[in-house]
Amino acid sequence: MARIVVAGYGNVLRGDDGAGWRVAEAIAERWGERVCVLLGQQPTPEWAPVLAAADVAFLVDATREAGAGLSVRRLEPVMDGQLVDGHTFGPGHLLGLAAALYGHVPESYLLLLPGRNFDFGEVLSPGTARAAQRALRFLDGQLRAWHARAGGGGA
Amino acid sequence: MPTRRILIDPVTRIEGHAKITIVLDEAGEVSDARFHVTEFRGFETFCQGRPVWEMPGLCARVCGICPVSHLLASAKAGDMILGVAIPPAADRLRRLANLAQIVQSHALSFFHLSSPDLLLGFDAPPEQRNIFALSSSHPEMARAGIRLRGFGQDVLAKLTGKKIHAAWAVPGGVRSPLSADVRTELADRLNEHLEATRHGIAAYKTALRGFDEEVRSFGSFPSHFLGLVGADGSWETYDGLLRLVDAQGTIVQSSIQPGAYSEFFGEASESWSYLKSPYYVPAGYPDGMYRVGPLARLNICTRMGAPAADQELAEFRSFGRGAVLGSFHYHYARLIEILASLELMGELLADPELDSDICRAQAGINRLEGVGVTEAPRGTLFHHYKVDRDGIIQWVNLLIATGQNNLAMQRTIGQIARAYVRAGQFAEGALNRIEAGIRAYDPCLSCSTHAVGQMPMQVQLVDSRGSVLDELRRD
Repeated sequence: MARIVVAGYGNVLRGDDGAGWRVAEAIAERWGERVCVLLGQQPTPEWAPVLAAADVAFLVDATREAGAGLSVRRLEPVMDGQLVDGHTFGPGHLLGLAAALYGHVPESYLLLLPGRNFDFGEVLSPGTARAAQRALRFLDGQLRAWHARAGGGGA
Repeated sequence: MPTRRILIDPVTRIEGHAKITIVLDEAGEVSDARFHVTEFRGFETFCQGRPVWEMPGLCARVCGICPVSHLLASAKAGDMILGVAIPPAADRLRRLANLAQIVQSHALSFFHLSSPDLLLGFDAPPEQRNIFALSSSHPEMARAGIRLRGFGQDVLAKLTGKKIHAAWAVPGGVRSPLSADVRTELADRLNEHLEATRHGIAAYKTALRGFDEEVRSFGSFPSHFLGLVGADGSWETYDGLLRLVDAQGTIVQSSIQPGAYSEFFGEASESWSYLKSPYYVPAGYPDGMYRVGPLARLNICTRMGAPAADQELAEFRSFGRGAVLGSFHYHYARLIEILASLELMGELLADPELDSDICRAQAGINRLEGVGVTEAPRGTLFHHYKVDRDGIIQWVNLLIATGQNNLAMQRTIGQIARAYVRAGQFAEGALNRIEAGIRAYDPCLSCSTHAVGQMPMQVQLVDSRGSVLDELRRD
């Protein structure tokens, strides 16, 4: 079985900011123990050893800067810690810490969902909800492919 | 020659947003130093109108680092309003949660935020003084810090259902017990973290030998110290009575009932910060400056009540004649508290009271006012509520640990600036040290800025030469 991490982060009480968390939560429900799901307000150093033990990691976040739809890009480790503190520790820093402390970085991807409304509320705006569904379909496909490659089953 | 201002903005590796202004006189010497907290929250106002039963869950949202402190202080204020004694199992479970939070918060402060300064040196450039550089120079310590904080968070997740912002404690007790299997699993993991903490203490003591000047200048001055102690004077984080000692270590107030705190402690506001400035009323403002948190808790207690931590306490005491006065020693005190917390968590996880699933007392509104006090990682935390007969919140006052250290932090900045500013010029490494001096207190600014509509405000329009062109103020 492939060792897969899906990490969703954001604030579920701030509208679209919680989209990444909700996608990862849905993946946990669909895939159970065949995926390691991490949920949080933001990436934290405690995730580094979990990622370092994985074959592949998908980090899911929402941002105002994303285009109209889901964007997926390859993530590389960032080792520049000059201005890193609790609020600026990003996905690249997380991979950098995994590399520096545990000597392994999984193949990693950042899924960015377009966020429009970051005000108080627990409902995703329509465009973000559509992108979240696309993210789920993308992740389902990836998880099936990775497990098939490793000889495991699909959802 | 006009006065000059030196601005540090933002202050990094603390929780929240702040800036520091240092004012120089005509001779270029430091005349004033101010720590401005520039963020603003407002819980004291928007909690009005909510049922008292909702308050623990609401107040857990005050902070992402120490939500359990607010959860427990709020639940305790609710206990008083219900007029109940909570079941023994709930008492033990709340204590366990508070200790787990101290572990995770102190681990964040020491291993993630402060150890780059302490182990790599204050004079190292920022690109060589951070968690990545630490990973290279002290990889095992960096890994141990991550595991230790993760352990504290795991305990909280298993106990309260969430790593942060759980609404698990309620007026009258807690919502759920902890199974015997989970208790065993957690207890089995304690030794690894006790060992890691001992290594952290050893590394700190080695590093300390190179910091004589910093120990002298990082907030080393007389003040009072406040915190909770147990009935026998021992280190206490959840309940007990308030004790105040002076700089000589003499007990000034031995047993203030938490509900009487407002008779002894006032809150002053300054126009240039959202952070209030609490003080000990009998000594007046600002002479009534006192410190809270790890340094204070170790200064006021007679013993830790845990064997390994008590050995360290004896060594800690050697840094002072009477009370230990240097704020640099917050770091050592923090490590000793991690040790004590892990030891006491072992005792609690083995406590037979936890076999009971009776963990909530039920009652209606029996008092119209309640005060809950706990020791948060950063110091003593007060939640004070007034309710109507239906339990609807009418008034809230939160007295937060970081706020209580405000006056001491201001004075610390001035002391460091005086040590490292000469004739209007910073000595090498001065800025790093001023930030690190603040970081020793591990301030949590998100927690500490709550009052709405009471805060004097001052807005200045200043030109490039520092002349004030216009000013708006609300006194």
